[in-house]
Amino acid sequence: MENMKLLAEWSYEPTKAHRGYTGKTLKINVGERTFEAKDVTEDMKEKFVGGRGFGLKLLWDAVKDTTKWNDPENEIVISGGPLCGITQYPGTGKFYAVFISPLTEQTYDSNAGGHFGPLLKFAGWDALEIQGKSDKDVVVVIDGDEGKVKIFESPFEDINAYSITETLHEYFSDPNDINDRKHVSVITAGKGAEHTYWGCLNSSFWDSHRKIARLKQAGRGGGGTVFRDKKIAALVVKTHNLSGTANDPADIDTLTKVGLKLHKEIFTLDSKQCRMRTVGTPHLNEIMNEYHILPVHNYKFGQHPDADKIHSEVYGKLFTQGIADGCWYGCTLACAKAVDNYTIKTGPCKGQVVTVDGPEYETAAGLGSNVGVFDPEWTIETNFYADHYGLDTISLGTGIAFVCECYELGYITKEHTNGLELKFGNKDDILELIHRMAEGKDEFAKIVGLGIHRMKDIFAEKFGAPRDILEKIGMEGQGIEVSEYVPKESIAQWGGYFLTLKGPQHDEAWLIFMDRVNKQLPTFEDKAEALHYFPNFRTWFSLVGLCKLPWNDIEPADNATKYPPQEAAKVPEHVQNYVDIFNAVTGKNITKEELILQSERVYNFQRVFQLRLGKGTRKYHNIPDRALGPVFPDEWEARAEYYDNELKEAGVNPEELSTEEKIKKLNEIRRQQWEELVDAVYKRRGWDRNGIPTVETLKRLGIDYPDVVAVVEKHAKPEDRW
Amino acid sequence: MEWEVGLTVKDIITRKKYTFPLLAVWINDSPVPRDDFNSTKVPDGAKVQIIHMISGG
Ligand code: SF4
Repeated sequence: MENMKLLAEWSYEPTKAHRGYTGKTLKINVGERTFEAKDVTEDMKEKFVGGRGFGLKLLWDAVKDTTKWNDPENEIVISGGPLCGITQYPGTGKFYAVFISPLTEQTYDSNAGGHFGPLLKFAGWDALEIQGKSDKDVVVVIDGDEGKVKIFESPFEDINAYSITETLHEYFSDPNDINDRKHVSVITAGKGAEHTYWGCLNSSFWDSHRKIARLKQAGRGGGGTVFRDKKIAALVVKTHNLSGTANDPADIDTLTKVGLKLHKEIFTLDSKQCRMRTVGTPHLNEIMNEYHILPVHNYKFGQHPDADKIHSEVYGKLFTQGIADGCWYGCTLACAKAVDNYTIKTGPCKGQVVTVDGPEYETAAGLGSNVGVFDPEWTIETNFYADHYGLDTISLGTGIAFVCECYELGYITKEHTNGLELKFGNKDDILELIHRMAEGKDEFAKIVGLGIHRMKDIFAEKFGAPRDILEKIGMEGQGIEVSEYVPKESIAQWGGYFLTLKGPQHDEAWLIFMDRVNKQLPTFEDKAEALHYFPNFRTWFSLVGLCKLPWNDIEPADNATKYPPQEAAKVPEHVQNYVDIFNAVTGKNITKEELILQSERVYNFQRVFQLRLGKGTRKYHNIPDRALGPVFPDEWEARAEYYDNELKEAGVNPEELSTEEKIKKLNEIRRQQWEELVDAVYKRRGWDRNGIPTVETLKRLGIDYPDVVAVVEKHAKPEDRW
Repeated sequence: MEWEVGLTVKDIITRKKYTFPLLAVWINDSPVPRDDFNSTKVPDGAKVQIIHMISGG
């Protein structure tokens, strides 16, 4: 690669991490080409912890109430958190990116593995704020070895992820030592991110077994779209300050001991439990199908006779076995599976032999069963292009599933789609649509890339599609597409998806088994308790830089016999591990109750932030009919016995009703249940009837900062108090 | 579900088509270790609880 043209440069003294923090954050304005170092205060550590907490705090200080996603002051804030980068415990290399989302027009947080989060900290920074909009494509480099931040003019014509990631690993490392590339990590997006609202951030890691750069994604929310709107082609971090003690933990012995315990558990039990090390998250494919949770044809059905074709054993054979596929050092759960030597069949990379990262469960379902395709090879190719173009595979899958249903209902035709026959299962045309979305020239592909929320408007207003049906079948909430689980048979999961801070992503709570299968949450209060505990517990991962998977995709052998069922679901021993490793790194002495409190602070702060940006009230906690139950007769008939029983349990005799009447009746019942759920959850969370945290809640949590209280006081109404 | 002589925990799981690997089972409020599902007989009239732990998501 030719030398890159330097546009701006700034020097700093890299601070080494101590007890998990460097105590410094970096702000880069790519528009003005300015740089600034800020100190991390004790209050910031106490109240916001790190990761997503730091991201939200820094973004709060950077934007106005009126800031839109594409305003220069919007930022992408990247931060790992105090545990990010330890190597003794599995799943400790995550960063969290926080930004105002083009899809939801409020704050979003999205996480990725790979090496960027740890290397950023070891290059001296607890968090990185990127603000401004460049006038030309740039490559931003943070060099922790030299203590310099540089902005280069991008030399790349093709900014797609796989085209530039490897080149940059090579460019910024020792040309005589291929293994030196592990000291570099790169974030990219791609052309798809530029031309749609579904842009993801790709975070790289050097795979020392395969000797290639691989990608993990912060997929959701459109972070890649913001990245490209700022005209960033790539963000590079480099440091040789890389060791198992680079966080300077307070108690390395405990850290090592707790880590070893989990490693042993994984080695002994994973092959009998989830098989993460051999098939990764696609171990869920057949399970979700068995339990009617696998999304098929835009969530119409939860099961399909061809699901065997996407069985985890099929994927297991396609994934390369025998390589430790951890996306950060020390992750023995090693679920970052890859397909090697795959020959691309379509598009600009046709004929190239590549390694494809994934597919993970969400991709196998979203760009598989949900769009009616049961062909793993096609899903692998589509996964490759989604990453390459910088597209979120979840929004892409759910969004295209919506398009296919609209096409099959006759609301859109080949005239609208410019010749594409977008029926479920028509894989060639679906993949062609994705290529067109990345290219950014085709008008229909551009509409699709705006997401379901906006497609509903355009299909209704421009194409004459019936608005009421679009509202029923468009699987989105707060502007973002639902991830890949059918929620219609679990009331608690309605909340797990639609009573969330940022829209229907499954990172807050996954309660389908607890609620529907185990019947452990019989009352609305029980469901509300689960919708308090699990979102707060899981938020904690995002504050400290952890991956959620080693929490409950592996469990101690005696978990289910040592604890009563309700407690066992929390995997208490792993919760204690988290308390122990947090204390071992930071030197603090928190309890498991304080862990929840740390999360609850940030959770409520983010809720107020959404309010400040004009969202964050009850009306944005909307749920489409299809998430509540069947919309069309064939959907009902596919599970007639189950739904008839639901009516009977509600005191309605289904035998006296036509299928259409039954659908209407069940929908009425479920709408009523939804409202009861919302009330119960808001009460439990310490929010008013309109979903606004009360001032008392802010005080209890110690986040009653004057500017936070002012936002609540501006919007809260006395009549909304309980 | 009909009880029959020799009914094991594993039989119930198979009949119910529970394919999920992280199951927890209690018979009359006593936990059954996962490795013993095959060999544990279910007494007639026993209270059997089968719980799916959360994973995925
Ligand atoms: S469990 Fe999987 S995704 Fe999580 S850190 Fe390990 S390899 Fe990465």
